[in-house]
Amino acid sequence: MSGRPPGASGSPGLVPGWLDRPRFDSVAEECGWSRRRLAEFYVDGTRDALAQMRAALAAGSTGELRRLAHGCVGSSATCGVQAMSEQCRAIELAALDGEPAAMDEALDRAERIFGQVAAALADG
Amino acid sequence: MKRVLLVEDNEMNRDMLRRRLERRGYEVLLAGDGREALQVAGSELPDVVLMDMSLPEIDGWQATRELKGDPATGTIPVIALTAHAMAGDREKALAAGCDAYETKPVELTRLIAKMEELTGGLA
Repeated sequence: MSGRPPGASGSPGLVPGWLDRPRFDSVAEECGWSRRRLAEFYVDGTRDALAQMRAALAAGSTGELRRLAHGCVGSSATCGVQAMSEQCRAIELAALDGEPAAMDEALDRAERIFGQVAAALADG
Repeated sequence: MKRVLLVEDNEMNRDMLRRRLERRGYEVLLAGDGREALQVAGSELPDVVLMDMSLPEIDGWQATRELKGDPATGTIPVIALTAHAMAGDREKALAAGCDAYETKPVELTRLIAKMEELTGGLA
């Protein structure tokens, strides 16, 4: 592995602890990837997942939204991206309740956090 | 080389865990839902199954019950994987026939220790 840890130069807008760096580094090493490669894998996959969640919400597919959010809870936790794991859990819970405004709000917030996360990881 | 059937519907989670296990010397078979898991387990007879419990089609609980109820696959150890520890999940997994239970995010060393304990030795 080489280079600075992702987000090393600061992550405006993100709460402290948004990234569990030891976990991120450990998973990158276990995958045989550089930090940069894992960051790209995470950002690309999560961007797709959020787009699918948005489409599921627009289609009224609450079950699909819940399933996608559940997967994002796991993938974000695996990579140590705590801020996204927690917000995707909020989407999952909102989908369980089935209240459209709450689901939309939770997804909006996840999209905002993701933008900050992607920028911070790219900064590594 | 031991063969692991990884049952996981989320592509990112599946890809990462597959890579991590392959680099530790396991052959990894994949299934994306419970129905596919039953098919692959029946045809490939893996040494151990890692079963995400939240799955489309047939969920992990039902897939485990069916695996354990089939004489051809009933002795294959199944380790349940769930993204968050819900009250009663462990008991529910064991009642479905799972041999062990792990929460996500997976701690690889602990998971492998559990796999080896259930399959009797190093890969």
